[in-house]
Amino acid sequence: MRLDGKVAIVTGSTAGIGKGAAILFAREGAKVVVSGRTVDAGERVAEEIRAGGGEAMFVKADVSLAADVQRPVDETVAAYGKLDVLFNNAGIGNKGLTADESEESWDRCMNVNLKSVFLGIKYAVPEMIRNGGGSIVSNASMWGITASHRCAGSYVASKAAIIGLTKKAALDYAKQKIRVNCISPGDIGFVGMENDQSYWTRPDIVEDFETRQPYPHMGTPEDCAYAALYLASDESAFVTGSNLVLDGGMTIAEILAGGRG
Amino acid sequence: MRLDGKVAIVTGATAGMGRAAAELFAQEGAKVVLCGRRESLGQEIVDVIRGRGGEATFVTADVAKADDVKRVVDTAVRAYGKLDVLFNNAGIDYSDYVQADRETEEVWDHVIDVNLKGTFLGIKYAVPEMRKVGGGSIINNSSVNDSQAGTASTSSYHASKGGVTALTKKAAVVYAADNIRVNAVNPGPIATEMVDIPWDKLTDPDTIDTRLRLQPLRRMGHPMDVAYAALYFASDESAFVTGATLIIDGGQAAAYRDVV
Repeated sequence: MRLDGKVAIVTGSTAGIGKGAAILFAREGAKVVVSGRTVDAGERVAEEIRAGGGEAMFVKADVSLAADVQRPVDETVAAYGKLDVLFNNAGIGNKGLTADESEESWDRCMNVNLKSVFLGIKYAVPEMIRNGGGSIVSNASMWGITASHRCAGSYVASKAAIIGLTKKAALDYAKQKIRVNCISPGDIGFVGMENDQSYWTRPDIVEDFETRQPYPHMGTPEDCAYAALYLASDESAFVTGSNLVLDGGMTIAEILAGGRG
Repeated sequence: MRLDGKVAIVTGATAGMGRAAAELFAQEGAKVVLCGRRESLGQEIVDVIRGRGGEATFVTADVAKADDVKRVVDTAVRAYGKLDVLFNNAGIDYSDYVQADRETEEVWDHVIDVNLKGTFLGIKYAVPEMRKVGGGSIINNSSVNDSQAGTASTSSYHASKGGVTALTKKAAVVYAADNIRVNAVNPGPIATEMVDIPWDKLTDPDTIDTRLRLQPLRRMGHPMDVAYAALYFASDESAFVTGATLIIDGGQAAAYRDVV
């Protein structure tokens, strides 16, 4: 198993990509700390893992609050003795034109998406140094590479900043054998910005998808979970400061005026 | 096993990253066709894979030659019935000709032919076979030198790797609708024959000192580091990933070059 003997925290793992990663990490042998704001859903994810023979516990946390990021790290070390892997996954979506966004909306998005990654690194690093190394994976976004009319300025800026922060932390902690990488998912159906499934069948969204994404299917939480697994495991031992884009080719394609291939 | 039932070609598989990938792919259940120019080395690796219970075949081939590349693909299909994975790994460099005004036309042509045209030819002949089985995965070995310049490689090497990355994106867009994914691994310094550091010298401090000082992770990469990345792209675990370039360089490209 690829995470045998490792201890991992996955933030925002009550649903979607985080839930997929928590379940996969546990299946690959990690002891997993599920964290998020929704207690019922989080307890269910932990229970699902335990029912499958894995080890997991839920810790309620809002990643925009420093105390809430420190507590899961402390409880992880108390319960499982160490911390090897942190998947900074929690994030929120945001829409609208740049100048129309309120200061409150900007601050909220920056705190949940970006400050949370800083806080995760801040509190995980001392434990990983004690442990002789570790792997931090953060969930950025395709929209941190290329802008979209679908996303607010705060969302695009927060995700772009995660990619920068990933490089900085990778450089800072390479000596201590802590690797820091990020993934940049594209359109992951049924999660992320839009929990309303009808969003994905709206004509403008379908047209956008058909003319912009070369690969003719949406991504899934499992696709993201496998990318995070690769970066979490020792298979990526020489990879740090990298950004793994999983977007069906969206960011590298120009507008597909002639249709797909 | 992560490549169970799949058939894979690895070019430049007689040493370094190609050899590591061929052995790893076979260990993960793939039937592997190795190709390279050195027949006896290739046969030795095939014997190693078979000795562990894997399936493998070696084809002597120079990827700069269209007929050779086509023959490799034909051999894979004839021997194992189909083609699912192609790792365009073969590559060369000439460390004696690092300045453009000293690089001969022959050196330029050879490097471009092996590194870039070889990748084009691999895609050209693999795609029709992958279409027949409803999709596939092509991995190209590019380099961090596709976008970062150094003083240790030829101009043709940098240009060829820039071309491999561009070709990766182009092929990814064109073949996405055929469910053929095309991605690149972009290694930094890996201990291989190309940099005159075979993998058994990986931890020799005298050998790697100068490079070590510039590496945030303070070591060179092992060929297995690249093999595992290629495995991720080869397997269905990366089903939504196409046109991606994964940097595997110990943090070198992410970091300003201060000595840490």
